[in-house]
This record gives sequence, C-alpha cells and structure tokens, in this order.
Amino acid sequence: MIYLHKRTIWSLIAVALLALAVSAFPISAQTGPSPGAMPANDAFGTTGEGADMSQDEMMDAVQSVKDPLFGIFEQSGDQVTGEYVSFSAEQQSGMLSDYSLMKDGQAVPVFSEVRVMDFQPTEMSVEGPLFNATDGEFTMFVHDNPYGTMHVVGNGTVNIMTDPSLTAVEMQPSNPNASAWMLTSGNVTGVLVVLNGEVQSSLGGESGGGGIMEQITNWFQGLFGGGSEEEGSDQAGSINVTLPAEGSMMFRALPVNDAFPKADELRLAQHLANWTVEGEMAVMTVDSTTMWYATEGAS
Amino acid sequence: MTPEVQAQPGTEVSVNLTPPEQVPSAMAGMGQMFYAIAVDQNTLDMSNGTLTVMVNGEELSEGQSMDDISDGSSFFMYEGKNAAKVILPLPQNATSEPVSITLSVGQ
Repeated sequence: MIYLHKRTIWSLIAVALLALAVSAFPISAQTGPSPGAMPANDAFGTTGEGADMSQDEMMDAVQSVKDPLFGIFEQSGDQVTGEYVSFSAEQQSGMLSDYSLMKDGQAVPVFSEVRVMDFQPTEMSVEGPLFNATDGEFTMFVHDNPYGTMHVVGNGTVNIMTDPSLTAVEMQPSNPNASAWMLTSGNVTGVLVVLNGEVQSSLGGESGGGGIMEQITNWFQGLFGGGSEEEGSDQAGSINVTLPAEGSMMFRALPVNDAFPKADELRLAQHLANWTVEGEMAVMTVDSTTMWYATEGAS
Repeated sequence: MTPEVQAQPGTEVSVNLTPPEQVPSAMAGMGQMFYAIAVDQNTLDMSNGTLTVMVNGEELSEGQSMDDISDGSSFFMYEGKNAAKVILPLPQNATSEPVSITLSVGQ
C-alpha cells in the first residue's frame, strides 16, 4: 500500500515538475583546501593534459560543452559572472548582492543581498567554478553550477534578503540539528538549509501562486513532513542565521536546465535538506582534461 | 572531507576522500550518509558498458530507487541528457577514515 502510494505521488510530481525549468552540474581535480578554510571545504581541481590551464582557458574549453555540469566564473571588479550564476561581491565586506541564477540566458533573481556581520575577507578569489571569500574563520563559497549552490561555513552571522518573487515554506527535516526552507518562484525552486545555526526568519513573497507552484509546494510539504507557508505581499523576506564554528548553511536550487530527471533531483534535495549528503561532486572531461569540483556537506 | 580525483576518461574515475581533522558534533550519531557524484559522458561512457561502483574495494549492487540504498550495500544511478549521477552510501567510519570510491565502465 505504501509503495503504491509513493509511486502515485512520484508520478504526480514528475508531471507537475515538467513545467519547471532547471538542471546542470559541476567538474574536475587536484587542489587542496584553501588557506584558512574550515573543515567543511569545497574544492576544485583538474587532472590530465590541461591540468595547468588558466581560468580563461578553462572558460573557453567549458563553453564548447552543451549543458556543462558546471561553468567557469569570470570576475570583473565586483561582478562575478558564470554560466549559471551571477552576483556582485563587495571586496571590503564580502557582501553578495543580486544573487541570480541564469536560466535560458536570463537572470532569475534569488537573493537581493547576502551580508555577513563584521566580515572582512582576507581572501576573495575565483577558481574554476568556485568563488571563495574567507577571513579564516568564516568562508563563503558560490558554485557556478545549474543548482546555483551557495555554501557558507564557520563562525558568523549571515543576513539574507530574498527576492520579493520568492515564496518560502519552512520544512521539517528529520535531522534535529537542521532547519530548512523551500524557496519557490515561478522560475526557481530550491532549498535553504542551516545546520547547527540559530535562525530568525521573516520570509515573504507571493502567496500561493496556484497551479504548478502550488503543487510543488504541496509536494515539498509532504516530502519534508509538512511545513508552514510564510506568506507575504511583494516584500522581500529576510533570514538571520547565526552559525557557530561547526555551523553550515547551504542554498541549492533544482537545476535550471533539465539535465537530470526532476523526481530524482527532488529526492536528492530531500537528503540534502536532512543534511545526510556528505558531499556532492561533479566530474567533467573536456579535451583530455578532467575537471572536478565538490561541495562538502556534513563534514 | 577533502577529495582528490583521478580519471581515465571513458573508463574510470577514482575519488579519494580524506576525513576532516575535526568532526563536527552534529555528525555524531547521524544515520547513513551519502555521497553524490555526477559524471559526464566524456568522463564515463555509460553507453559502452556496465557501471561498476566500488567503495573501499567492495563492489556495490545497483538499487532501483533511492529507497534501496539506505542499507549501505547498494548505489543508485540516474541518467540525464549527457551525464549520469551516482548516489552511494558512505561507510559508517567515513568521518574518521579515508574512503576510496571507484566508478568504472566495462563490458
């Protein structure tokens, strides 16, 4: 009975999600932890003939791939632009603004602002698909992948302002140390997960939405054990997260292209929200050069 | 967990995970942990044979859904446009001992 019920749910979800756009993923090998990075660490590396390629050379190589698993960031002043993600990073404060996913060449706004209190990065860099800003105790990573992954680790307080188009639904992960929200707009659906953090939220956005969005919302509520929708008008929502040294926060959307089946990706997102995925890696080979990158979860 | 990757494009990818020096307290007592690896078709040509997944030298069987992998003995794979994603269970001691993962395609 339970099995049949699950199959029915999956079928409904698969149909409902056909109208959503999303998908793609990341790459390659041989890089150690960044200086000052926390135990939870994201990494990028290359191996093979082009293991010593420059950022521009990697970008040229990856741009020749249709639906690459990840892109390569380009930084110009404060602006950081990738195949799937774009944002502005302020050098002095590390504040990210206009955090958007790129879907069909159009920027889909997700976060208006990501600000870390008293954060003065001593290092800010891009390497392959990874953006990294750290002061040695707190680190922010952004991944140029179809999921628009943002990962922060370490001791700090983060204030996130969501785009007004987003609706937030608070989830109930089975992991007692985790808090999670589903964030949905007409173009992007993702989860924001906090591990070991203190959270204050005032999330707004369009209420309901009907149709596909409502179905997805209902499905997520069922998947994650129910939740409460925080409705708003056209105002941005905010989340304040205070993380201890062992804390982490991650935003990960469903892929903005359709590289993988939605039902499988949603099920993986459930594991991510419960923080039971130790890490996620993408490996891609272009012209005899294998590139990989990893997002570390629970470690 | 710091990864290191080696690849023989078309046939094999090996991933070595080194445990963190400090294990967050939140990890203590957590249930089965998973690792997800997406591989494009240039790295592993799935159309050229059957995928074999080894973790610490032991071959995992292929599960039919993500529900099948929670006992730690099976992996689940799903394919997309030009890539495949493998979800595999990690050993219980993955936070304290290195983990070796090998994905290979053969006849």
